[in-house]
Amino acid sequence: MLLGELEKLVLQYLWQKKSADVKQVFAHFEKVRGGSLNTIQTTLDRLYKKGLLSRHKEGYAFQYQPKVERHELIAQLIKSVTNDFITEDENSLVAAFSSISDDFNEEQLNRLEALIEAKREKLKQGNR
Amino acid sequence: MIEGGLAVLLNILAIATITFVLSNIAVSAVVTLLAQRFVGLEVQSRKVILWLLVTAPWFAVFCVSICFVYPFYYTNAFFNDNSMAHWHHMTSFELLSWHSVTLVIAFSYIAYVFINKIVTLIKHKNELKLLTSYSQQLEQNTYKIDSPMPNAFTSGFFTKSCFVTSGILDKTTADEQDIIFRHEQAHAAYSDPLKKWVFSIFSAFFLPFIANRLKLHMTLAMEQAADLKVLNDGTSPTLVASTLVKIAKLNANNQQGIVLNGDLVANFGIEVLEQRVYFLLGQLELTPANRLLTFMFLAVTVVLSMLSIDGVHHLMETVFNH
Repeated sequence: MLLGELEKLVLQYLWQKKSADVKQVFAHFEKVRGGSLNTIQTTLDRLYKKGLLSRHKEGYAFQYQPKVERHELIAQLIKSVTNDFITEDENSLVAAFSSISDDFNEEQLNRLEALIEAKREKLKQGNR
Repeated sequence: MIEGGLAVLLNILAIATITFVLSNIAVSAVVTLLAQRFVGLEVQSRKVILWLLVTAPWFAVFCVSICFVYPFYYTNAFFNDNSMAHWHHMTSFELLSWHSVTLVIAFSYIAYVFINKIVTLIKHKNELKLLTSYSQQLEQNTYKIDSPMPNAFTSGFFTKSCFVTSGILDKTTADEQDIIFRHEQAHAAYSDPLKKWVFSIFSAFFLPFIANRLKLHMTLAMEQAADLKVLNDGTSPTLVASTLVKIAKLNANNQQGIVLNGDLVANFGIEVLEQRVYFLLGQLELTPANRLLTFMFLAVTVVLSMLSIDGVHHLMETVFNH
């Protein structure tokens, strides 16, 4: 997913405002960075098509709302870029500290913890 | 019917395709039979072996093609029309033949793999760019992502960047964070993201279960190499191991319910973590790879592939005509 500068700003604005129509968004950005109503309309359309905004008609105009919250979008991005090398090819591009770590069960992890603790104890006894 | 120089080129490509399939089968057999033994090899040796295995079919293609081209242009007593390694219609190539079909399949698959990898790379770059814009720069190549998900990873081929989430920083001590940062810096220093991507391209030419096995072993070797670099700075192995398990637990809890996955991938996953922990605790006795055996395997793969070309050629011609 690629977002342009204005798309990121509009998304940020809607995360704060929760809901707005194109005129409200334009009124805000006209003051802070200029631009035309058409540009804002196109940006809102793009974000809608990328699945980041939802919209419904109120009178003659669409009201836009963020479909995903900021933390959800970041979580999606992290998941996508760190998808594991074994199951998805994307993960061939990153080297994660704890790869494939969500595929364990608690019992297995507890067993490993016990093993580490036993080693610590052994080292302590060896130092005495 | 094509004749002359172009026919020689197309025949060599047909020979290369058959060689690739034969050597791929040989490597797949070795990986299937011996993969479990790889974990007992020293990390650096294991990496070399994995690179040799994944590139062996291409190496065999290169050697066999040279062996077929050379005697065609130069007189050589070793190679003649009666030798085992020969192709009986080097200067003519029938377009409507099984050779053409194998070439079309081979080139289509190569194009598919490369296009797929490039599309994946572009998608990844775009997502990473967006993620970076939502991150706070801590150091020159280290970024903090504001997210409760506990995660740390390194990406980038030439300009490498390490990412850590606020989720991982909030739930770890200063010592644990130091381990995480140094582990990620080790991945960056070794150019692991680029190497992983190149490795995944080569492994894409194997059957999926063989490719996954090869990638699993390379992932494990890369992680152990990064762990080793952290240990070499004087950090306690038990602290590195406990940090690793702690992050795994945080991740599992963050997935809203621990995944009780019984499929092959999950089993591989637990093996990676277990192997890293055993390795850190000194419970694995790693030995260097046997160089002679490795060399012999490569040589035998090349020679057998070369000697099998004529046999495969005649076998196919009993079913299909030129």
